[in-house]
Amino acid sequence: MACAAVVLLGSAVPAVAHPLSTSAVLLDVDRTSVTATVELPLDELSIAWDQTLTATSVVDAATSAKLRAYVQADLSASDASGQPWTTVVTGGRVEKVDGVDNLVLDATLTPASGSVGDFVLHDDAVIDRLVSHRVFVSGRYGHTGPYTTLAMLSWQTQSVPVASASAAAPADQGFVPAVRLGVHHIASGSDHLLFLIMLLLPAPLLAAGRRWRPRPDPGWAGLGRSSVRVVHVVTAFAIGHSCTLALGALGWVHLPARLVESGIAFSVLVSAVHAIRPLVRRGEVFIAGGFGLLHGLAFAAILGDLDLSRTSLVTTLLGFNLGIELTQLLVVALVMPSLLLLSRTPVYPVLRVSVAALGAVLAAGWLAQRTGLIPVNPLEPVGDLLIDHPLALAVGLGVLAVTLAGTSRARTTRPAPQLEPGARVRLQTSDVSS
Amino acid sequence: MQTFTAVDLDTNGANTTDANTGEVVAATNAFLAALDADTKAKVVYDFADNQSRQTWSNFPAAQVPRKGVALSTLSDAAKAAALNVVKTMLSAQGYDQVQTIQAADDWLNKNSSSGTDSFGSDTDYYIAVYGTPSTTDPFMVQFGGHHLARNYTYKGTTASITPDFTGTEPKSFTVANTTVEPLKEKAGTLFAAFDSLSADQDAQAKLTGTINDILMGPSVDNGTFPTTEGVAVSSLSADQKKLVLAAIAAWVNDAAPAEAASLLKTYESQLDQTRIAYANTKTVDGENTYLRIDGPRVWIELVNTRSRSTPNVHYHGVWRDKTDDYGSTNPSS
Repeated sequence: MACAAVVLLGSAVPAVAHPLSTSAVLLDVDRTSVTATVELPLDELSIAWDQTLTATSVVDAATSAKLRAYVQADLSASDASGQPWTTVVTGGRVEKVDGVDNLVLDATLTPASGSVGDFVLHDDAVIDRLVSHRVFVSGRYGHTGPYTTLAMLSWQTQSVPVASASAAAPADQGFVPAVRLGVHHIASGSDHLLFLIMLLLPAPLLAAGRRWRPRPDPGWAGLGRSSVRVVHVVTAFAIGHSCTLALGALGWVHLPARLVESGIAFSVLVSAVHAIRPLVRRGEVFIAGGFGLLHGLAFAAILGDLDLSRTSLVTTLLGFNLGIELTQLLVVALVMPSLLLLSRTPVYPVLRVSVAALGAVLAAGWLAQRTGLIPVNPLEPVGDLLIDHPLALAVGLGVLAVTLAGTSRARTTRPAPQLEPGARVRLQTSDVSS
Repeated sequence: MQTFTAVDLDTNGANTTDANTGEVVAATNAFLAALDADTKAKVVYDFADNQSRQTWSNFPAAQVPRKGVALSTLSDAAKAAALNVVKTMLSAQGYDQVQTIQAADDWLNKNSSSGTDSFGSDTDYYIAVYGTPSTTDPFMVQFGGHHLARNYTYKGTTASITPDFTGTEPKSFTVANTTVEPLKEKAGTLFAAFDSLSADQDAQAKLTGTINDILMGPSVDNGTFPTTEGVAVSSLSADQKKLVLAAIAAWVNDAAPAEAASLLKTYESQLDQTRIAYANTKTVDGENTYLRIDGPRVWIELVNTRSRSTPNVHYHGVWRDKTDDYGSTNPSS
């Protein structure tokens, strides 16, 4: 064979001078079916169909039905044995890709055998009418991470062989990828992060009736007690979500996704309210543990999507959970020192209540969205900020903490706390045992 | 977005005879001598670096980076020497074609509505040398940029002149009160051939399906050409055959005169096995007008395509040789 390899270059560059748009077929390869996101640029689609298709006209009922049927007829897959699969095309929305409006359709390709082995994808949509059109086919396994380009279909070839998920398993499954998946999942889940942050907000404080007040024991002793409280919160959350993650992943506990997701939104709301006014003494520990159970079920749903065999499940479960715990500890490490410093300043009550109130509103938005009261959470961008710029936020918080702590220390003339190693041990012990 | 299909290139392509290899070797050596060591290292590639040899495009260099160095990075003396290499490889007509296409890029630099100023006759055109210039062993000189690709591979006294890409946006523009139409000769002769078709011939020449860019463009290097279709030149009148030959000559005569004459004679001898075809329309400024000449060796496409830089259609044109691109036999065989 003379054909050696296909090398891809400069794929992210928008075509400024020659926007001869390409279609894209993005495959998510599962165990029992393959889902495909099909992106069809309207400029090329218009030429192919010899009619002007706009972002509005392409999604009118008749046109989108016609184009769904067209893609359904042109997009197919077959087993290694040649056995054809069924194709079902749904959806019909318009998204901009490289500055060009694309009609985006969702296709599901299902093998008659019920199990996805290696297969051949065939697609001549648009190419059959517009000969110079090109289609980029890319795929991924496990529904996460970037897509890998598999082929560029053109007038020369409209088929591409695709490996099954099991063939890709060594790279895609196992302990380390599972850890990565865990990190990725919690780091990109603003609700989980916000829950944790809401619980950390009052950790440097003491509940006195229905109010939060600063610890009476300044200096290292108070710091120690606060740290122990953080350990309690983090441990309770870890125990809570680990239990249900295992039970859920093993299939022994199952709750409807909508209920779980709504419950998580509710948990953020409760933790935010608790950060404003203590609901129960040591409430943050109970909230962390109790609602941790719900968060665990959401984590389990991610593993469920991977459709793992029992043998790989334990490895994946451990890795995934480790990823979650590591990320959780990282959040604590990034946020807690600043909170501890800030809690010694007079502005902490205002800051705590403001952040908690923002968290409460965001959580209320999620709750309304997830229970179906509103279509989208208008505050979603605020939540996205948390996952898009975590380091910038943490650094900002740190700078704020150091600045404020510095100025308040300069104003007070309180002497540095006297340290007695023995006292520290005693205080910690008493705190743990109480 | 561009892919490169790496193929195994050999040096056994059909080639044309009567190449002015000695002159090109001298001009290329003079160019290389005008470079400092760092620049020379960027200009010279292994002859076996197929992927680099295959790197040409209808896109500006900002979208698809070219190999070698841009003219804008060269000293005045080195730039003059580089252009002298190009001038030596080409005929007067061929070098004029280079300059008018560069002028179109300068025009785009000032007038493009796409918000980019990466266009330009100096910044957007690159030169690279593959292998050691020699009158016996194969080497290649690559010159091109936005809407231009000259890939000249020499082997002794023979040469390969393809793939050869020429295009222009806009089709016509004014520089200092003079109208410039870079592809006037190529498009004019080709349209003349298609305009001569009778209704019956026209029906045979018309392709089904729409084509809005050249099919044998950059990266389409695996040696597979579209199935031969269209009206047979053998069924055309003697006058019509002359028109088809004139259209082929408009491309071939860009090369240095002796090798062009030799190759044109070969293509002429194959006229009776050649077909011409068009898609969509054959009007000069028609939407997706697409014209093709398809022979045993010669392959020429001209298409009206669109961009965001100007409001009108513009030309992409390509000339390939089915048994001689990059001086290699059909890569798929």
